[in-house]
Amino acid sequence: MQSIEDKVINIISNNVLNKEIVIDKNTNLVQDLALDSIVFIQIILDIETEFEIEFPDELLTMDSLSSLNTIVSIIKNII
Amino acid sequence: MSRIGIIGDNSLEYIETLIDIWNDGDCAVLFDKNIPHAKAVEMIREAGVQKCFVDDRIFKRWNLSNEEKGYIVPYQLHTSHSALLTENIYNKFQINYSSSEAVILYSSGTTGAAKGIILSHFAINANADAIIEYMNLTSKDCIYLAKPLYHSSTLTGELLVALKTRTKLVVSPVIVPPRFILNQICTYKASILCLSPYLLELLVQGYYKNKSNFDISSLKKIYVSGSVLYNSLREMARRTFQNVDIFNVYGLSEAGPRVSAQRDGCCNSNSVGKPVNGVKVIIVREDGKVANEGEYGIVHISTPCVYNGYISGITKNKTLYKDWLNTGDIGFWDEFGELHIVGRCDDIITINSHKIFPSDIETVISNSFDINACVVSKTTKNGREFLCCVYEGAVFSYNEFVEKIKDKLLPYEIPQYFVQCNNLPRNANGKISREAVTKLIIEQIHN
Repeated sequence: MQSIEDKVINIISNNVLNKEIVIDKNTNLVQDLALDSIVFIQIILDIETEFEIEFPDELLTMDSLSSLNTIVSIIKNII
Repeated sequence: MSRIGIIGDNSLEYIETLIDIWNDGDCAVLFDKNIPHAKAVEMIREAGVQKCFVDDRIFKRWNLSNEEKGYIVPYQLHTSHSALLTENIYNKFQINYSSSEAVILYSSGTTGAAKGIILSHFAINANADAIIEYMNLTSKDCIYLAKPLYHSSTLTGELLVALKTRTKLVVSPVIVPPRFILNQICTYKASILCLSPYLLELLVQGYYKNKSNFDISSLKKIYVSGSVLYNSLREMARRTFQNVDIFNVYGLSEAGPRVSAQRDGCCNSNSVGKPVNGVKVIIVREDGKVANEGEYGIVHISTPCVYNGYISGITKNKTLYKDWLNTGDIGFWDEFGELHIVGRCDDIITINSHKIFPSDIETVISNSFDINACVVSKTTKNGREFLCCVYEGAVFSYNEFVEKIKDKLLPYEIPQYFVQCNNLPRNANGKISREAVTKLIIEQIHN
């Protein structure tokens, strides 16, 4: 069974055009991938759909959800 | 008069800082909140900004030198979520029709030879008046801010409109999922939304998924701007938001920004409506003659809200008609006297309503890597628009590209895909053929 981390990495990979981009647990979506805000919103939507969760409103910023580790940690707390 | 910068997300503190700058007789220079630190310092210097207020979250992320701390100061954010504009802010705002500099905006990010559009208090206030005239606001209206304040259409068309008419305004951070916007529409009973086509598409999808969770009966009007609203999205939005009028509006920052708008009784098609009060529009053929109804030409405008010039550089688009402003957009008049915009006459790319000069991105990439030449172009995949770069030279990984250029470009200016080739396609004159490059991108990415 896929881990939460793997599922999140898959979701990010599906939202970036380039399949050669290296994404791992230490990836920072803003600093390493320089993601546009529109792509970022789509990633959040896909994560919420996949895990059937809603991120708390106060965490819905690129600053709060930029690190893969943070995203995975928040998902674990919510589930 | 000094130039004072602001960098931050939408918030009450941002707006108060802006009004304080105006009340002190200074000019506000508004930067994209995603601008990399090094680029921000360069643009601050270029604009002659003496002090720059930065959202404290961004300030903490930047590794500022002692010299930079002398003019870049944090402002503390207390309202990171949605809030209604306060009585105090309405009372602080002073109407100003002077010709002195009010605001400097960057409509094309870090790209473009001409940067930093200077608008006077007269330009933005008179343009706001023209917008108020067609919006037909009532005391029950409430505008929800979904786009950044450092965009001219949000600043003039929403914030100034709200301040001048004391219409309720919900100030909200902008990078949020559509359910957040829909929740806030319910909470604040927002009646007016101003969106880009891509935000509208997200909102349509978000509402369609969870209709029963959202009571958006208060919503009456959606104004769409930033890029052409394609017909299928317009129809989908009308079917989804059945009791909501959806209007296209059009403009450019150099014009204040509003040029034309659809309005009650004037939205027969997917046009961008008729010119707003005080603005004249003419379509000019490349030979300088005025185009007839239905004929394509370049949109030229004459407006009292015209900009005062750029911080640096001059516009590439020379006027073809008297001293009117050449927008660079291609359009035509329809049989109802409404304006339609069909494309650009130059190389400018629009992605998700962001205006981009590909040649500037190409220069950054060429200067950062040992490559012979490169071309930046736009492609679409799965309904989404992306920038791509095709280059001649050694192979680099995507991560290597991003590492070197992320400090020089805004996120939306960074190509999502880099295609290496041994020889860029060229035409008979040896010039790189952008058309052939675009074909190459499509072949590589869609296979």
